[in-house]
Amino acid sequence: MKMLATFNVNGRDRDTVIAPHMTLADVLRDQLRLTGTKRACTGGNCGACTVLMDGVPVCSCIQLAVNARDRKIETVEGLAKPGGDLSALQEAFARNNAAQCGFCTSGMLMTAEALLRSNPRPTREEVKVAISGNICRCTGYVKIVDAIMEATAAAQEAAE
Amino acid sequence: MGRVLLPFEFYEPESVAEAIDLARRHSAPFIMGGCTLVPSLRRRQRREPCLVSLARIPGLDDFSIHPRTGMRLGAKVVASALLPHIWAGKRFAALHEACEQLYPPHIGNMGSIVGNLCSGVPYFDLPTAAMALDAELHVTGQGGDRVVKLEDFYTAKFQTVLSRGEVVTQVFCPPHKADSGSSFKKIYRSRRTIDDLHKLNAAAMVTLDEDRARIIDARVVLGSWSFRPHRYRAAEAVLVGEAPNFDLFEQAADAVLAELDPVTDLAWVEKTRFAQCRVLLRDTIAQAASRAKSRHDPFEDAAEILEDAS
Repeated sequence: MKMLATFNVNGRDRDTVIAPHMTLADVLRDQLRLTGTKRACTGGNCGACTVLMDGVPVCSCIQLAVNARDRKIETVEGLAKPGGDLSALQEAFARNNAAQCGFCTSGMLMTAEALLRSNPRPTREEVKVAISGNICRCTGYVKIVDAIMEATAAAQEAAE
Repeated sequence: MGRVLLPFEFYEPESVAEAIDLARRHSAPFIMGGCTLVPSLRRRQRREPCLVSLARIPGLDDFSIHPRTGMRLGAKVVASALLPHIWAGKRFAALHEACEQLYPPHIGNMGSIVGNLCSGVPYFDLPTAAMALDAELHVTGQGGDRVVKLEDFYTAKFQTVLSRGEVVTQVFCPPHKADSGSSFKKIYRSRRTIDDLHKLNAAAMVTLDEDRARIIDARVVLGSWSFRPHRYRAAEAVLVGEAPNFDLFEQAADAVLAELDPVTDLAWVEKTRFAQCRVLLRDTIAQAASRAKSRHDPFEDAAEILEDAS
């Protein structure tokens, strides 16, 4: 049972052939070649596969692709500015050494992006709650929380 | 865990009647967010050759929450939809807390509340919380509609009273009396051996009389202990008619413990779990009573302001 499906990924409509048993992570990685989204636990526990669907973070490894067809999907590839420069959040991650092996980083970035859009001035505690579904086995989270706090609106205004 | 799902047929009906017809014809389960179904298909715990999706049926994502009319949630309402709602937080606090504490938080954006209730997984939180709020499920099937209390809904592990081709279109929690409060708490890691259940969860609802001096109604629910959450009427009987205080909550917790059967055969595991369970129940009831006592509704403030203005 194959079907032609259109996905709006990072603002562009992308056509591809999918089957109903494919998850969104399968389609993004294997069909659309957007390999920034990682498959890790494939059970919705670790958050490495996080993408934004209509602006809210979801686990793409347990999201059936058929149900994501009419939704606006954003992946880590869409975070950088059109010219190729990194976004403020990505810059903050790089400056704070918030990635070690980097496998969780794309999921962390997407979850943090959704948080900062809905709450531009989060507290440290709010950041910790928001990224509680993203597991990182390298950093111990301190650098990640530091990076997200540096990318908040309050920090940016203070720097200007 | 297997990497891929096995292929299945997938139907996307656009009305409830069409969905019921498809599910009956193919003996297929319904799928909404898939947060329970997709991982179990991937682990090969279940094998489904056909699924019927509710995602394209309009109207099922409506919900209304109000202290006068109760809480009505359509089958497609996801858990995170409740979080910003003021009445969900103030008057249906148990379910609101359970949704807030879902792990990982992304699940709240994907999975529906009704789907969580219908999956029949013994350790899920939302059934425990909804049972304390006296939830009832509106079931639609070939033979017409019926209403099932959540207490009568589960028949065995992963089994409910639903047959193939029956769908829950709505969950309804009735409005409670004015001076009542509810609460939900869980202990996430109570597991000591591989055979233990992962966690304990409890929910309570306490209604006080007009002077807020005596308890006139109570519901105490403990989940994750057996295949379904249970109401403990002996504990409720301990609470009703008494003035709320800490010793009373401990007595109610002990009344629940008296009814519990051990889950595993290791004595020290049981000892730990019983001790945790006692503290959990005592604190849950205490918080519900505290909320009933300190209840503050902006709705009543607004009514008073309107009266003053007129």
